Amino acid sequence: MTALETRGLTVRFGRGQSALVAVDGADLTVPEQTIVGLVGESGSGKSTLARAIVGLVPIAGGEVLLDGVAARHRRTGYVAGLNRRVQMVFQDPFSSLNPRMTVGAAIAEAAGAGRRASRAVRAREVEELLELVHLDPAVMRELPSRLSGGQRQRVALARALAVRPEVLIADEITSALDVSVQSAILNLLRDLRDRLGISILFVSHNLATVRYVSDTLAVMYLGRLVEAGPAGELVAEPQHPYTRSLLDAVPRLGVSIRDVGTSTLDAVEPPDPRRPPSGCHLHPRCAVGPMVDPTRQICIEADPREGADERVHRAACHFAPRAPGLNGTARLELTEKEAT
Amino acid sequence: MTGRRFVRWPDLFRSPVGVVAALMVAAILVLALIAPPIWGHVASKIDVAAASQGSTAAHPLGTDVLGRDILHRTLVATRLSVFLAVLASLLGAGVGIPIGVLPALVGRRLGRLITSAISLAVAFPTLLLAIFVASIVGLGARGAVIGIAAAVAPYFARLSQTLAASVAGADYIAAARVLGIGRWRLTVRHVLPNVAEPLLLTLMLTMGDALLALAGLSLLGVGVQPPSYDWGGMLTEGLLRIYVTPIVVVGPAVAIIFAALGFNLLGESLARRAARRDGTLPRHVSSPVVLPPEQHERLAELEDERHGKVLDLRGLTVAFPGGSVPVRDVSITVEPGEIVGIVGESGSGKSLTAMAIAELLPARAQSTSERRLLFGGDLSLLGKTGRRRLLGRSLAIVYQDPMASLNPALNVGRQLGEVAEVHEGLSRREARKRSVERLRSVRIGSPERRVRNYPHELSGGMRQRVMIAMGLMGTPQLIIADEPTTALDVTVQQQILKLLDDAGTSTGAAAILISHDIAVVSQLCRRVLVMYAGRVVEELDVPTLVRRPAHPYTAALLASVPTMDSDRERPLVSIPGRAVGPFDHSPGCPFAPRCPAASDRCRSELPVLRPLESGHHVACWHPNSVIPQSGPPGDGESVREDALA
Repeated sequence: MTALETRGLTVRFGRGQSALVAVDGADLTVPEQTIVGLVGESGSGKSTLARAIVGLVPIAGGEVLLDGVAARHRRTGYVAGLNRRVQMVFQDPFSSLNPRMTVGAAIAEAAGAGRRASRAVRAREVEELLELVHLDPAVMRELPSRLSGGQRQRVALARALAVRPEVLIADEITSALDVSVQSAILNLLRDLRDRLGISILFVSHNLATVRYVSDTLAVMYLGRLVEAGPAGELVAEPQHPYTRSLLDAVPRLGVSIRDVGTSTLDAVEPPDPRRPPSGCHLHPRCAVGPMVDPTRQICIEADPREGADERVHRAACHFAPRAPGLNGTARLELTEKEAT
Repeated sequence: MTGRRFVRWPDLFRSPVGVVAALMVAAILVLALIAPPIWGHVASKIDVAAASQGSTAAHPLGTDVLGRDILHRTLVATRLSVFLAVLASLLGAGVGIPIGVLPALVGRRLGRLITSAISLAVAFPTLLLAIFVASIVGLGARGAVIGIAAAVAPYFARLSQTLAASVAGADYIAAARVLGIGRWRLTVRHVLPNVAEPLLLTLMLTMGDALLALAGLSLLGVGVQPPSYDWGGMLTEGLLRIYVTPIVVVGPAVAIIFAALGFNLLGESLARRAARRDGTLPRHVSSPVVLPPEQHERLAELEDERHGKVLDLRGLTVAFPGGSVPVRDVSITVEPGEIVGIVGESGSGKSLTAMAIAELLPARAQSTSERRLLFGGDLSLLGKTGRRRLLGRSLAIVYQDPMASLNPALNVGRQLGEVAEVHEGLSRREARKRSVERLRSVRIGSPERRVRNYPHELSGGMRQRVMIAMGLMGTPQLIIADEPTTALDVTVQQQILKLLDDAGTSTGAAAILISHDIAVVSQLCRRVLVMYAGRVVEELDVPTLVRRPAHPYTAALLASVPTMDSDRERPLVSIPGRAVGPFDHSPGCPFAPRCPAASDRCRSELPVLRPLESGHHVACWHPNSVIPQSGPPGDGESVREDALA
């Protein structure tokens, strides 16, 4: 069962020549009770995709489905009643809480939005939510300015959980935190998945963090999803050359920078996202593309997402291996193209 | 919402202007309250015999044409004058603010229409608008008040609209929208409370202005009509006789100026207080900092007079007025060509240490050290200009945010060239040539073209490379890189780290790399200093750091950061509690409150950096005592956080 699904989700900013396609036809699946990690570099569109799912950004095409039911109108937010099933936690816990509202008021407002309850019931609910995120219920009387970054992020989590969502979108929620605090939040996310049975879309630029916390990984490059698969497997055997470069670039403890090879991504400056390269967006920087093998013109001409479903990890690469158990038509077509 | 005060009143009385303004306004308000019942009768007593007098013993400020005493009339008129001014301001704000926040509530198209209407209204001259409206509404107090209200309302509308728009971008508004909170509630609960402060201050200032405007209207004959009288009306009467008995205008004129000044000064003092309130330092402590005496149990090896070091810094302490000591007794040595890493979390004092080395501390900071040798010499012996020149040429700094540290108005070539022109005396042409060379050395493609680019035309990675090129323009002996890759993507981070490594190798420059990311530091450095709460708690080489760190903090830090090899099945280690701040002066080890191995000694006696083995120093009473254990899920800085005090 899938909790959240996007089909061909597209987000466009601006019009005409200067239009920027921030998310280009994203097919993303978040199964029930799963943490899906979404990684990509700055400008890859990962945060925009997250914001489009919760309705903070108008979508230009495609759809968002909750339990298989279309949940978002094209421009104006959600089908009534479905919006509360997806909640979001933001990167900066110092700006995501109203500085003039106490912790208790902020959570109570979320819990009470759309229904009536007595004061005592409300207070009890707030207490439970704070305990859920491992905070002392006494903090409910505090203003956010009195809390540490980690505590604020927990409050933000509690507020999002107050409406009992089925899916939680966590956009870079640990990047503004100190490392010693980050780990506690990561542990908490996994704990919440297990205890509440919710699904989480964990968006981050930090591969090590995403790998640790997620069950499934999805990689974005220039607005497109290029690879998705089980976290351990994807990290061990990446199928897309971009994923491989990304993994190679993660700094490893105690490995001297001199022993790290240069990535092909270094050779060429990243392209202008307003005018992405034709065919496969990665082709001017790719380690297996036309840069190293001029015969591979297919990368310049054809969108590699064609037939991605038949490849391992749904890799959007013409040269990624086919998933076992599928018939060989896709591969056959490719060899024909190569031959010509 | 708890009642947090927008402006703390006691603060207001700390500035002489604030005290005076508050007293002035208080006097006016008291007068407005008590004057009419006490002197109302006297003020309206007609005495034809004393008509149109100048200053006399009975009437020090003269009398009007009906012989009424002007001093008393001035005092009594306070109530009406102030009441009308306050009423006009409140009315203006009451109309303007809702109109201003309306664009946030209604749809986009209607919102735009309202915004345009506000802009149009603001474009009208205030007093003209007031006169116009007052004439339409009808002469008298009512007309004047409505006129002024109509004239100030557009300003309130524009101000509240701009303020609301600035708040609308905040994440907590986005969060509330995702929660499905309606627009009305969003405005009332989330937007208005956060813009109330500047609006209240403006209201105060407007009251002063309205007082003047009312007087102006009365002067023009559209204000308060007899038999009522306000200061403006009295001034008008007096002006007719100004050449005969000039004293008669003094009363109302002084009253108007006094009241307007009082309101304006109070408004401005409140605004200034509000702006300053976010200052991080408590203002009440101003005594110089006295550090607790600490033992200086130092290693013989360290005591050796060794020469040829790029940097030999001992016992650096940085303090700020008010008792904040963010850097405490830090010692660093850097050999030529060596890259030393400093690792620490926010607030550990790592960046301030670097700034102290570069002499770039803020002016308020007091830095002291036992020894401070840079490039083999004592810089304090040089004059200020000599020191600046030496630092400018021999020290390069690479910051975290290259956009903030490059001048957006100068192209890359000029910015790089300037360094060589100023410090090396090169001509502009030579400087340009060297800029191109240096850009090529940091692997920027087609540098001849790039020198003409402005910083905003470059990508983040490219800007950081320009920063490094800038550092290489002189002849650096030491490069300080403060979180140089934190704002960059991993693939770019790798390039920049390689570049820093190359820069060191090719120029022979030493470097200090500061980062919160222990993996980044371990990639580039051989020797690492771990800082915690302003102190160096451990100094060790990278292989030791990876395999067996001795300080419990270092060990916990390593175990808490997920790596590509972390066991995904096991929860991460987290460090409970939070770091002590720079104001903390309790004895003992700063990590003791969070340390699983802390003993009574740790809580009472400060451990200093001592050698554990060659090249490995640790400031801990129980080194090697902690093998990090995974905590239960979600455990951490959470439940037993005592920092709420």
